[in-house]
Amino acid sequence: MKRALITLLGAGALVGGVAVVADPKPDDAVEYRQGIMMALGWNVGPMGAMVKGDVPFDAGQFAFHAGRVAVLAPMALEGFPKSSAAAESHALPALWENYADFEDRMKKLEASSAKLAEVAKSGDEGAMKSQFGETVKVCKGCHDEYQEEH
Amino acid sequence: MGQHHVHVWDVPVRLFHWLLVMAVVFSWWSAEEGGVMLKYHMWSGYAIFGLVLFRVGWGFAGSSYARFASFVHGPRRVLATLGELFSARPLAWAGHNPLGGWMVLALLVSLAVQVATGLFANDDLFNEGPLYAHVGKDTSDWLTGVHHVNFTVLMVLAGVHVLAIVWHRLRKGEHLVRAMFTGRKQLPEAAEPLARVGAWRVFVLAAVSAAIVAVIVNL
Repeated sequence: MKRALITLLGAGALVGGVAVVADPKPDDAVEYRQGIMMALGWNVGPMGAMVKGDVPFDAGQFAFHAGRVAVLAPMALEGFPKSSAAAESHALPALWENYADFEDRMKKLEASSAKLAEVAKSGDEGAMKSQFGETVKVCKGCHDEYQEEH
Repeated sequence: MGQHHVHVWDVPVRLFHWLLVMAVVFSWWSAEEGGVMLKYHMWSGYAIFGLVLFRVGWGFAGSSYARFASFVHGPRRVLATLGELFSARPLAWAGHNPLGGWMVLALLVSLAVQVATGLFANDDLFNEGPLYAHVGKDTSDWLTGVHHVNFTVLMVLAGVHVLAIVWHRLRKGEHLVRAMFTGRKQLPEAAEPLARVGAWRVFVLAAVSAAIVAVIVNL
């Protein structure tokens, strides 16, 4: 039920994004997506610390952050409209040249983070850690391909 | 090949070499994996840090063929060695030959840069080098970029190093890998015997290196 709701919210955000923000200013798009990435990192950080054993594992906290990530992840793609290709950002030209692949990866992130939130509800520590590993692999894959070396 | 078995690489040098190879391969793999594996990538980096410190120390206080003074040569000798590189004649050099000596230095410098930048690096996800907090995100991002570029430099150096070993084997008939395992080279003429130093130096140097790493990563 909750998952369906998340999916619905995600789809709504996507459709809404297209409908409402029809022609965002390129610089606004950059700021928006950097904000989303910041918010994602805000939530991924504490989960990472738990998975690495830097802080004690807390299933409730983990599930909270996993839920946040599942909501935020579907909001990222709309921050990369093609109209923002020329705006100054850390996005590599390859992103715009392989836009279909980029969209695929974003869909994977969406699916993977939805699964993480789902698994997190089970409270199964091993499964949560392993799914976390899967999800951050999707993050890393896209960063490696399409994010500029600073 | 000649009859003279000359001991050139002592145990610390050989152990350093092969532990370094393992640590570099593991670091490469764990960085490619990324994510949670970066935790172990960092441990591997600390190990390399310690190994490099140890080798630099051993280059001043170690056995004769391990010392920088014995294998770092000026341009004339380097050019002369380069001139002999393509002939089938063995170089028959007891320690590091003049070209190889500079490769040792280049590799150590590149490894040191890799360790130093890694201490401040971040992965834009949830991993940060132990000194990240001292410099902030922007500087860390820049150093992370250097870490990535220098990895390519390191791989090119390591690639040339390995190709040179293969070249010595195929063209000159010199078994340098075997020497790095056994410590001995087969040479046509007798060479200066290895001047060893007290084993206590190994332990002192290893302890000092480990202590320096422990202090720096906890700054």
